[in-house]
Amino acid sequence: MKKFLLIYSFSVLTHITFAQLASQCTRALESAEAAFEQGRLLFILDRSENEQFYECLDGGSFTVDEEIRARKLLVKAYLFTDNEAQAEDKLVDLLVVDKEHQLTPEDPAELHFLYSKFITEPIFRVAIKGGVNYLVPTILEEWNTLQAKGKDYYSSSVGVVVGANVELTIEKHLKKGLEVGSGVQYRVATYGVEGELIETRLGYTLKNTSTMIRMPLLFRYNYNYSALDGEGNRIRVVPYVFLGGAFDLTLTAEYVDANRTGGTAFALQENTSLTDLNQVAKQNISLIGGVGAKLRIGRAQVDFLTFELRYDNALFNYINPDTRYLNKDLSEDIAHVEDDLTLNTVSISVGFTKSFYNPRKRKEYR
Amino acid sequence: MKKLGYIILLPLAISSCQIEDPDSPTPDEGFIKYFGDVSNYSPADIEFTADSTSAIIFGTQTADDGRVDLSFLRVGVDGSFNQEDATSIAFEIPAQEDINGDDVVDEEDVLQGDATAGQIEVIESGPFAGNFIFVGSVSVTEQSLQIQDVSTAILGVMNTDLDTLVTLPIPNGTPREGLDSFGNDIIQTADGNFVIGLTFEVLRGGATDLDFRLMKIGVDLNGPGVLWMETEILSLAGQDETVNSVFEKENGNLVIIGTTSDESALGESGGNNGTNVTYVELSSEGDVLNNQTYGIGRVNASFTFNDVVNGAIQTAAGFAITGTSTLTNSTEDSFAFFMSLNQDGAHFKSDTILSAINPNFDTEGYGIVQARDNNFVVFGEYKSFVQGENSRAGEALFMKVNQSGEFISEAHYGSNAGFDSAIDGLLLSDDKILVLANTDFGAGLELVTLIKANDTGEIID
Repeated sequence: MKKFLLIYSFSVLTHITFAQLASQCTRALESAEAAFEQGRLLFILDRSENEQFYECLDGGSFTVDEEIRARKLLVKAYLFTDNEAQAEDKLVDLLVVDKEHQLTPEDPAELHFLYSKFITEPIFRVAIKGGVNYLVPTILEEWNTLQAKGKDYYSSSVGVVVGANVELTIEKHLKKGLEVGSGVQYRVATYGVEGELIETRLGYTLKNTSTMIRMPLLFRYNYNYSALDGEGNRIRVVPYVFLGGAFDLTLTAEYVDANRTGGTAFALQENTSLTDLNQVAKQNISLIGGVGAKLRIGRAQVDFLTFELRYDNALFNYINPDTRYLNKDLSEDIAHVEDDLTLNTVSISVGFTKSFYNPRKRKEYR
Repeated sequence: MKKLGYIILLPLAISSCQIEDPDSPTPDEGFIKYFGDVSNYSPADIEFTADSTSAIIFGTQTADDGRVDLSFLRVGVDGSFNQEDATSIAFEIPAQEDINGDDVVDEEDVLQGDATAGQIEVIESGPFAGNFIFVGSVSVTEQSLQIQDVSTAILGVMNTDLDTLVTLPIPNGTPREGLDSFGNDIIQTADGNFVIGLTFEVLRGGATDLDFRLMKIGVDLNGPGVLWMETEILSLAGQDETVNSVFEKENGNLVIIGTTSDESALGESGGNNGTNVTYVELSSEGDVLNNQTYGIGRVNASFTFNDVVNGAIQTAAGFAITGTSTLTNSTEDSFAFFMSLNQDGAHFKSDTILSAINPNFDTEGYGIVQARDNNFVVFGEYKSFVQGENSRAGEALFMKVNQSGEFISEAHYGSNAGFDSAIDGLLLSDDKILVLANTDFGAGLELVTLIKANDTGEIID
């Protein structure tokens, strides 16, 4: 009981102390802002005259909003005392606290001018996305062991087969909502196919799963990237479209779940790997296009939650055309031979984008 | 908003691009195709149609009621196929006695049985030019008539729509007499008539054996008419002779290549108790001019090699023959063999041809074709039953040998469910080989299989 009372008393005292300190900091900030309005700029800049203000600023006792107000106040004070070097330093301090600080029309023209001399945009962004994909093979040339009927990639026997992908990109805003990004994607994708030799009596289903490392290069146009709403805030939802390409490296490809209906019981016996038998292209190039939306998140609204719908279109044949008959388990046991096809995916992904800054003077003003 | 619409459409348009490699092989350059819509097919022969753009596959298929009928499939040499280009025939054999109880022996007194396909040929001249003529046999069992597995040779003509125009049973007496006849091969001779190679069962005293028969017929719009029938070709008591192939030489003489249990003049081993390859040359009127018998030249004092001819072709140099040589050892090992004879039937080379993958595995030789480089491809079966050594049960065998029968290359095809075999082949205009095979998927499902490969058996070069 004594211990409890001791802890309780300590926490109450701590709370009271912090509350008193916060109250003192708020008053110190309001006092400094009043001094600025009264033109007493030297009072603001004099540490000995304005001791509480600087203690709160250096000690991190301001709330984030108060710190932004305090640092902006210092910028303006130095600016109006013609100490531009200090004003620039303080502006950098402000931008460290408030990325992409938004000036208002009420801010003085001198501050707007100073602000324009600085790089306030992110130097790059890092985006990570994860999602699911659905393979939509495009048949370039049909190869068939079946006497008449072609293969069915979307049969109910195969069902809906989804894969997954995760992507890490580094992105940079170029100008006017146009961004470029590049990175790496790991993709697992599967397609299923059904073939029928004798209707209802002899047929097969199988799945082909591949894993790839992909290196995309994307150009994205963000709609309303810098637009403000009626209250002068940046619009939170940023729709975008993007185009790009990717270099695709096939890591593995293998057959899974191969089944034959009719005949004796069948099980894959030999190597199920298409990569081991050199039956798939090791490299490919894809075109990428899609739409998405970014949702600004965080206090500064400079990081994003993204939702994206993408179509990845491989340009070249996924199947090695010279080795398609090498796997006897496939071509001669279940009578499957791969078509010439490209692996295209529709994917939906969710991601997070973090912005990174290095506020500094623009080259022409250094 | 319209602008945004265009921006959305643009990536979709670009994303529908694909780039095809112009050097990539096309499906008609090499393929495996399976054909069939009933449970069991057994192909026997493949021949080009008159325009060489397609091929006719002749064989048998098992009908739903279990009867084995003759089957015909016409397929493009590119592997294309239309369902209507397939038909089957249940051949009827005259009982030659009143079996329906109307006291009249007429065309209604017929028997049906299981068919065996012989060979099919495209008719090159005459009123049926462009159509097909074929031979085979039908085995009849009718317990009420005391008929037990009696075969009757048959002949038929089929038009390009796969409608049967002519049917002709060639019985060996009445079915009740129980003597077999088999239709083995048919050719059209230079005079436009046809020569049929038959095997007849002959009763000699209390025993029967098989003899060659050669029949020459003319076929006109009124039907077939027998011009002559040669019955005394090889008529050795107690010796079986079965026809495999019939050829016409440039001088008009006829040649039969078949199997005999007669003594061999060359390469016999293990005494005079095996079967051998025989060559019989006859005049255009069917008179025997020359007869040679050869065994495979592999000598083993302990065993007899029973050589059975399964396929033969006529070449510029003479004749190339394949078949199976079975040893009389305890395991009855069997191996495909190759034999070449010159145009007069003189022996050039012969030997068993062993698999390079495992020479101890049994092989069978069923058909042969000459490749563009004048070497030969032997079709047959490779019996890989040993676990861990390419074990896929019976596999279709594609073995290339040189003109001396020496191994060049080998390829296998087939499922691991059953006994697959390559039966015959055609040399295509692009120098590739069209292989006729059958694939056994197990549980009674056997399909006609067509494989287009290069002359070393690779489906894609």
